[in-house]
Amino acid sequence: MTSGSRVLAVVRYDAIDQLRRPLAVLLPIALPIYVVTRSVAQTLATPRPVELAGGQHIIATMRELHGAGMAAIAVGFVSALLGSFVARSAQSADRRLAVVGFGSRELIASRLLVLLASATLVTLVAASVVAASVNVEHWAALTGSLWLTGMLFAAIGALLGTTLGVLPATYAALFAVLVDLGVAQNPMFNARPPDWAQLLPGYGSARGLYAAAFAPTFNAAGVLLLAAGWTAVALAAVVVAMRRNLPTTPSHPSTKATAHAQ
Amino acid sequence: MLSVLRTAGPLFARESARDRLSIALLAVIPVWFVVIFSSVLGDFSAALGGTLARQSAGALSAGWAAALLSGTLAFFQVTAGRTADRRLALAGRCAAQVAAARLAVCLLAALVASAAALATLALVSGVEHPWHAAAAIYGAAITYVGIGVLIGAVVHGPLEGSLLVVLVFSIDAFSTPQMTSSTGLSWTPTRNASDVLMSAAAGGASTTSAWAQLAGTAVVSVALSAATFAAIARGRA
Repeated sequence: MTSGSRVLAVVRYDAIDQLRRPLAVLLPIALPIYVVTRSVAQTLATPRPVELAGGQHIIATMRELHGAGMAAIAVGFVSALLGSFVARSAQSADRRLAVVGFGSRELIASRLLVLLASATLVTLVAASVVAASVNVEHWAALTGSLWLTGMLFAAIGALLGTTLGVLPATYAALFAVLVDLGVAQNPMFNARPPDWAQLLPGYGSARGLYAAAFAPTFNAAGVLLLAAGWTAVALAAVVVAMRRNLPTTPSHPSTKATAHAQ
Repeated sequence: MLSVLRTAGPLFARESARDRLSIALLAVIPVWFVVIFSSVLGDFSAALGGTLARQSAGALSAGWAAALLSGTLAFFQVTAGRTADRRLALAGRCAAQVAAARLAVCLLAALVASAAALATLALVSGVEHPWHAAAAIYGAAITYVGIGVLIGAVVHGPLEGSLLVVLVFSIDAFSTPQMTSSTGLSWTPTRNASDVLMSAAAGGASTTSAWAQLAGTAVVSVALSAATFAAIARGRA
């Protein structure tokens, strides 16, 4: 078995494991569609001045801001929830997979690939719903901002899942997403985020999202770089946490991995 | 009956207190709702076409905090106690007595959650009629005890069930007439409690009819919870 096929095997095991949970199947598709369309339908088109990243001042409507903001919240929450599921699966299975011959790099890479796939899925659903509901100025940048939101909160969810367990991690992720993306970064409540909000992890991706959605000229690459930095740090922390979970004794590559390991 | 409440009740209460999630929720949710949520609730309701005043937003968020917390904790009482309650009933305890002990713990948790929410409200924004507000907050909490218990009887997964409590709560909260211009749902579980709470926050008095409806909702919730706990102890739910 080559290293690549081992990684794909663990990705397949993990995908099967996650697909057993109704929530893991239902939420990435249903939640963004429901919250974005309901938000847009229920909110008035009241004009709202907003200062976007890059210093541009625009007038958006509350309806548009609500639709875009709920997409970010849905992506953040679903990614964090799936991240906590993946982390718990890894905690229970990876030590056994290591014993039967899987390398730590292969195991960690496979878990990160599952996080990547789940964040990408919910991002594509959310971006499509936003594009259908709101006049988006820069589709690619909006999708990129949402994807960074998904990857960042998937990593945060994985860290929470590792340290707290799935249930407390779910509530912690819900509150973290609502405080950061729902209140602090939300232009429905402040024309620009307050100073303290810049310290939160969602600042860069949220500023990038609103600039991508509403700025006539997109010049918010700086905040997207900041978001990428937060995401890289969070993913690095996930790698460290997963590596600590694995046994320190060398594995035996000659041992045949079995599909029953998980 | 009283002997069971004296023996099983404290055991169930200690079991709940050992759960770190319950303690964390008790600490976080009232502060989250009253301090953070109420500060943006007025703007949010205006965006939806609602007319929620800032003082009413604080009072309403205290009621919501107690309701959500009580519903979640009641749901966990059901999931945590399902097996133990059946064994207690099989060991000779009357199912009604076991149900009464479980219900007493839920009502006590709802009382603690209501007190935490009211205290946070009093510290943050104050309230004109604190006793009226206390009764309305506890009424909302008792209503959600019933919802949490009913969901716990049907949904066995802790994650799925607790998120369902959150979903029901979200639909309920954002269908409050002052939150939206759309007609929405004609009745929601905390509608009566919200009306009394907003009157209490503004210094007004609620009508006898509003108090009667609030009391009626709470009584129905307690009766449904008791019946559900008894059915679980008998192995029928």
